[in-house]
Formats: sequence, C-alpha cells, structure tokens
Amino acid sequence: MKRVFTEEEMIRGIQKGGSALEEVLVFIYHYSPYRQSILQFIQKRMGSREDAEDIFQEGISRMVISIQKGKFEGKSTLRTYLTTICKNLWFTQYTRSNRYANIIEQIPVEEKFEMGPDEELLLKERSEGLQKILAQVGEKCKKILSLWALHYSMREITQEVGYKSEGMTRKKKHQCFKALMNKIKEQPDLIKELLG
Amino acid sequence: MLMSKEIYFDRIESYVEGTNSAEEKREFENDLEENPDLQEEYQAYLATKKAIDEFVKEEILAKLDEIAQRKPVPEVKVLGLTRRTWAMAAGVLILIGALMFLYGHQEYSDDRLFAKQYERPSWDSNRGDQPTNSTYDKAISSLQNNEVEEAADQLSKVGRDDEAYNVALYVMAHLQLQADAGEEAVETFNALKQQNDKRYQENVDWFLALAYLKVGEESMVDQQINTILQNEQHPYYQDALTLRSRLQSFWRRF
Repeated sequence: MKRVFTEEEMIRGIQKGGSALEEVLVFIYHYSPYRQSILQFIQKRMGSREDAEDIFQEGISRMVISIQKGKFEGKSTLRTYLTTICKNLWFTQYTRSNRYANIIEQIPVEEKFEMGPDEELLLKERSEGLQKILAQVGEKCKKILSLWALHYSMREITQEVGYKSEGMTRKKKHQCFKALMNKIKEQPDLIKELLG
Repeated sequence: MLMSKEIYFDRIESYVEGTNSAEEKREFENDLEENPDLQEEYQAYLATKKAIDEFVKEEILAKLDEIAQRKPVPEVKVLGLTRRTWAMAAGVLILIGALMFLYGHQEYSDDRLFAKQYERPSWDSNRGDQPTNSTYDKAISSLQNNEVEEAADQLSKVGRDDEAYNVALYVMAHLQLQADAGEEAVETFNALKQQNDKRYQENVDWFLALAYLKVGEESMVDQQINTILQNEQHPYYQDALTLRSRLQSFWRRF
C-alpha cells in the first residue's frame, strides 16, 4: 500500500536521500496532486504532453538538489516551490523558442532557486566539460558517485551497482572519487569555475 | 609525494565529512593556512565534490524515468478519522446493535421461546378413562365447544376428593398457560406436583419449566431443565436440551 507523505516528511526524505528519497519521488510522481496540476498548467499553455513531462521531471530534480544543498528555506510550501520552478522552466523554454512570447506570465518568486540565462548557459557549458571528464572515469564510477552525492548509504549503493560487499563499494567509491579528482586537477580553470 | 597526497586526501575527507575531532579540525585548518600542497589538494577535492553535485541531476532524472515506468499501486481508500467518520461509524454500530437487539428480542425472548416449545395437549386423550357426567367431563365438553371460561370454571369446582382432581389440575394449568396467566399456571402445576401422581410427573417437569419461562424466572427454568436432563429416558429430554441451548444463545444477550 502506498505511503502518504506530509510536506515535512517529503523534505526530510529528500534531505536523507537514498531509499527515503526514492519513496518521496514515487509519491510525488504517482500519488501527489503535484504532477497533474503541473502537467495541466503546461499543456494549457501550448506545451505538449512530452514537454510537460520533461519540465516536471526537470523541476523535481532541481527541487531535490536545492533541498539537499540547503537552498530551500521553507518560505513557501513544497508544492508552490516545485510549481514555481516548473512554471519558470516552461516560460524560459518557450521564451527561448519565441513561440509563445505572448503568454509569458509573471510568477512571484519567494525562494532563490532560479538562474539567469547567462548563468544557465555557463552551467550548461561547464556541465558538458564535466560530462567529458566523467566519460573518462566510466559509467560505474559515475553511478556510484551520483548515488553517494544523493546520500545513498553504502548498503544501498552496493545493492544498486551489484557489488558483493559494502567494503568493496566503499573502496570503489574512494577510487572513483580520486580518479575524477585527478582529471579535474588537470584543468585548473575548471576548478576555478566550479568553486566560483 | 604520493604518500603525502594520500594522507592529505584522507585528512581532507575527514574534515569535509565532519568526522574529525575538534583538535584534529583545528590542526587541519592551521595546516591548510600554511601548506600550499594541502591547499591545492583541498581545492581539488572541493571542486570534485561540486562537480559530482552537478551531475546528480542526471541520476535523479534516471530515477524518475524508472519511477514513471512503474504502475502506481491502486489506491486503497482509508477513511480519515474525522469526527464525521467517527459519527458515521458509531451510527452504523448503533444500528447493528439495535438490529441485533431487535432480532434477539424477537426470536429469543421468553415469550418466543415459550411459543416455540409449547405444544397444546390433546384433551381427548386426557379424557380417556375418566368418569363421565362428572364436573371434569363437563369441563372437557365445554373446552371442545371452545367455551374456555366455562371449562375453567367447571375445572375449578372439581374437589380434592374427586378422582379427576389431578387431571383437572393438569388441564387447568394448561388453560392458564394458554391464557398467559403464567403465575397461576406455576401455582397449579406445583399443586399437581405435590400430588406425586406418576401419570403427570414427567409432564409437570416440562410444563412447569415452560410456566416458569412464561413468568421470566430463568433460574427456576434451569432447575426444571436440570431435573429433566438427569434422566436420558425422560420424554422431554430432547426438548429440555433444545430449550437450554436456546436460553444460552448469543442472541439472548441482546
């Protein structure tokens, strides 16, 4: 039977990460009213179903990262926060494409979560540079480090990647981190960019 | 150099993860200010952590894709325990209780059990070898003509020294039972019991039980039933078992 989460429980689950995060994602995706209202909002504003799904997922990922990094201050409800992220993402997308310039709306911003176009472009370029580096450390390393960054426990990571023991996972994570660090050290400019 | 960098890494990791003691933390911060190699490693560590943070989005999106493929579990409606829900539940329970009470009251009341177990005797058979033209015989004639009051009046006039006295008591007690005069029936059956007439002893055991049932004296009913159940050959043995079972029924509690 599905579990029902309060907003506080969702925030705690996201902060905790790992399986708690996944439970919250399942709830948000399948059982909360968030998805339906956001999909409707985008579809009513010339978005296709695919556009709406992409924006919704992108919005959730940004919300999760913001919460895990402590950027969500709780000034608005989680629902308002996610909805505002998704609305801004959608307006940014169609403003860029200039297809629906006549339907831009002003959205009140209670939380700092959104980047300006320049900042986003910079991030995109940096992300592409990082992807190249990550491609060199391998998919398995990428998976382990991503899960670790999402606060999955060593036991959960072990299950996900199919290693035999947590000790092996811990050792592999250590190796992956150092391998990535060595690649990054080869690009002093990237270090400066990353550290702002 | 390689060894020192390995040591740096471990120290940095402990510092960043917050697993250092306060003293180790102070020591690390002091070294960081003075040691350029450590600074370089520390910057690289932080940049790597930041880099990883930036690509977790991909992992979240992958998770969401996976979640999107899963079919949602059908929703099981759980009523919130609001005051309204409690009130509705209480209402339903009260209704069920009331229906059980009504059912128990109707089907297992003393009167209903009496009606289920009482069989009217055939007066013809009682008449049998009784003397004719007696008061008793007239009473039976009246009964056959449905003149119940007349019959009762005639039966009451049968004297103690009349050989039809015991049978007159027996018929009278039945008339009283049929007329819902339970207390009088108890009295009459007890009077007949005192006569120690073996012809009526077993019938009196049973009908006295029913007479007590009629007046609601359940302990006396039990006593009569127990008397009957002591003898498996008693003609009312099965009836007594049935009555006891009905008296102990769950429904009698309502």
